[in-house]
Amino acid sequence: MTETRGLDLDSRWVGKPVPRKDARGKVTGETKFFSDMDIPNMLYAKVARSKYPHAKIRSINVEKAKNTPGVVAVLTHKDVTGLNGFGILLPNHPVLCFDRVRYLGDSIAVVAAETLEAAVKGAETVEVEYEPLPVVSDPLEAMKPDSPKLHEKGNILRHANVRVGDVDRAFREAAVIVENTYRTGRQMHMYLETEAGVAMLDDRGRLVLYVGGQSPYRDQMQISRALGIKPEQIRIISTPVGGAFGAKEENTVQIHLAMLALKTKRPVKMVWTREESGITGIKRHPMIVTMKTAANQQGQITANQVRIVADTGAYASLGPTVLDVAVENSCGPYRVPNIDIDAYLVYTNNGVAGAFRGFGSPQVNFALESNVDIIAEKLGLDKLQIRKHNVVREGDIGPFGYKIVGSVGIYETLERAERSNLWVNRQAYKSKVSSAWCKRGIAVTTGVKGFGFGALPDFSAVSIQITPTGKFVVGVSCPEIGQSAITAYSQIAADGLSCDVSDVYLASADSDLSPDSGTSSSSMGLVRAGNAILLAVPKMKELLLQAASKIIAEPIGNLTVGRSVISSKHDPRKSVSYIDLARHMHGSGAETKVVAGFEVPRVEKPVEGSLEIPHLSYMYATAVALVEVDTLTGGTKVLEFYLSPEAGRIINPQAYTGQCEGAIVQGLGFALTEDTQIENGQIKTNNFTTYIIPTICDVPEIQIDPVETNDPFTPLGAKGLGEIGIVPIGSVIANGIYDATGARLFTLPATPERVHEAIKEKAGASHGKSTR
Amino acid sequence: MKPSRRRLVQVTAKVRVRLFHELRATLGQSEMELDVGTLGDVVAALISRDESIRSLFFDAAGKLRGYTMFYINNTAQNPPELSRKLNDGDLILLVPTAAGG
Repeated sequence: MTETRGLDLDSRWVGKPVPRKDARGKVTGETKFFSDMDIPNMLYAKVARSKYPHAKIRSINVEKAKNTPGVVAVLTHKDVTGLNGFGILLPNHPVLCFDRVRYLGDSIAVVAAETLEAAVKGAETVEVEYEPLPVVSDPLEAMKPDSPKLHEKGNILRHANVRVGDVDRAFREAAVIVENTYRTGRQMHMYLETEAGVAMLDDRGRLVLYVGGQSPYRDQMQISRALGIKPEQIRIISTPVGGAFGAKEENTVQIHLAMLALKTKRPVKMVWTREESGITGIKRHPMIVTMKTAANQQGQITANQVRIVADTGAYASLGPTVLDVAVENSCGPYRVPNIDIDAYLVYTNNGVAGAFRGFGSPQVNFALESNVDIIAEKLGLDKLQIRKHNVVREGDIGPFGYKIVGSVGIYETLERAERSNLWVNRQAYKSKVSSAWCKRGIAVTTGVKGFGFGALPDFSAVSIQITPTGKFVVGVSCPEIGQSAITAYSQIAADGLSCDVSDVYLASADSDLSPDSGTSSSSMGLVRAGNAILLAVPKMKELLLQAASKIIAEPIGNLTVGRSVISSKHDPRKSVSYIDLARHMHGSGAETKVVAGFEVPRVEKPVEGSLEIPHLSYMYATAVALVEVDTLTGGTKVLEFYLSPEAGRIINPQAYTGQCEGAIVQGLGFALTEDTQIENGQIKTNNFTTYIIPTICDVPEIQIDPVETNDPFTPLGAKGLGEIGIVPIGSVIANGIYDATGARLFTLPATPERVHEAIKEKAGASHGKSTR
Repeated sequence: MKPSRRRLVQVTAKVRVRLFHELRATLGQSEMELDVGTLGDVVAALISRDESIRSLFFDAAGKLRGYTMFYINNTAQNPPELSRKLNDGDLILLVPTAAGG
């Protein structure tokens, strides 16, 4: 039973499977996404993109493009009136290139035309004279001093070095040391709706953008900065969003659309094609992780030395903080007293990498959990018990010497997994196979990830307004991106305001309607905005009580709040409904709206060598997977999946399960099939034909078995959830393949070719360089 | 008559300061005009309006953090020099870190 903290919530709604507010529209197709919008007099936009992954631009000629029938405007770098750069952390990605291109997706000109066909034709006729430059495609080569430099300061965008204790001594004293190098793929987000939006000027000449992003205020900032106009001149409406998963935190179509709408003074629509999204859009950072892990005879991990090389592509985007999260999670949820992490973020001409669900954590988790499995095997220990032996516990000091403020339920998730049907009956599960040449394996791994921005500033403001009819409009600007956030916000507000959940309406994620609630990112939307709602509720209640006090002539102290009614404690006949209160408040000119802000707790100073380490609270999970490997083809199928997450208080069980299931399925792609193939800067897999994501046929039976805690990190007691489900998926499937075949995978995705090759080589394969 | 070699020393400049995210939410406005001498004066003027934003600029020891991006006339100041003199008409953008993971 969850203890209630923070506000005195009667939990009529929180913790209940309230149906999603956006479900009907999305299921029936009634919801219109921005890529569906058609507006009279609308123009269509297309970007002329680089034809080379790396080249100098000698000249740009747009005369032919301007003269193309139907073309209304062609804009180049000369039309960028502010900073010709975007990027949330470091704006070094040109809005429109003028001297150099650094990847195939780089933008050179943007065209608006009467029809999409004319816009495409116009973009195709932009003439650019290039001087091709050597392509930097291997991040290890890019780090060498003689590599061509993609940016003025060189190719190493960031080098993080974090050391704790004495790894050398720990390695000398270890009973077992395992060292291996692991590689992960460049996963694409592959949302159903590609990057899209519509921009126009309203009747007062203000810029209005309908664009599915992860924060209207971040989009507003990037447009304001690039075009040199005041933020108030820009209105951003960010929902609905047809999938985001991190990539839509960054500017995509926004600045180009804003430029064209201002220039043409007509509505302009841009929808990236699937191929354009594949070439231009953000990807998950491929990482090369060399990990040397030591343990004593009892299986206690004593040291972890990690070297990470992350390919961030051509521009910074959110790469610097992705690297931090990889560093922070390199030791997983384990107590590791001696740590030495050396991490590099490296520029290449391989597209652009940035935010993607998990944010650097799944990559290092694959390395760590593989090493832990190998250590267990070398010491003859049970693979679940070694994890129980090592995980952090409530009140522990975290791996970098700070106190973990949040709840720590990882041990309990392992206990749950230990009692799960899949683990208890694993031998029986493994004994059945589909055919004689198939083998089955079961593995267990854990995962951890902080939620929020860690030591970086993180702030969320929300508003609540009572309508003239006694309902409430909650203004939250972190958009609903599929995570069921608006339903959760409604539940929290309805409990706080003692009303029906159907009486709470969420204003669209609209910079004119809602204050800056931060981003829908880092598994933090619920925690940010949910806690801000908790702070706004008493302010609204105060307004209601003041009005009720006047109406029923009782001091506020004598009043009590019931279900959509306020009454006298002493005389229940003296009461006033929210409807009558609202009528009075609106009729008398009383305040009807409140705003509250929540500042996310953080440490005063980040860990030496990091930007945002540590987080003060973390999400945890234990995963168990049953896989079957076809030893003739190397094809791997996941048959059963069990996940025990610990993500604090559960606000909506249905949404909770949905988030975990979605993360697992996305993780299947990371583990088994998804990797953007880039050869010499040329992207070979940019659509669903060549880039294979899981379908419903690949989805196993999934059991979600949450451990519920009441996280003391924030008043709400809930943690983030969106990302933790994906963190242990790659590792548990790779370890499952090993359990089935004895073949160890060091590279993800575990494609049939790689698995088949590993099976062939297993006789001679070593489990890393064991030195003891 | 010889032209005077004496020049008036301009002590302050009239600059526009554009604020984003938490700065805007806390100070309740997105743009303001200030008469200041240096970039540091801009920061001091903002903190004087609301002490709670000090932590967006400085750590407990008074050292400048890297959390907030400074731009002068669309040029990033990395790292910002608070002693940098400003000129009339300068546009200063202050953008607190708005992302992480």
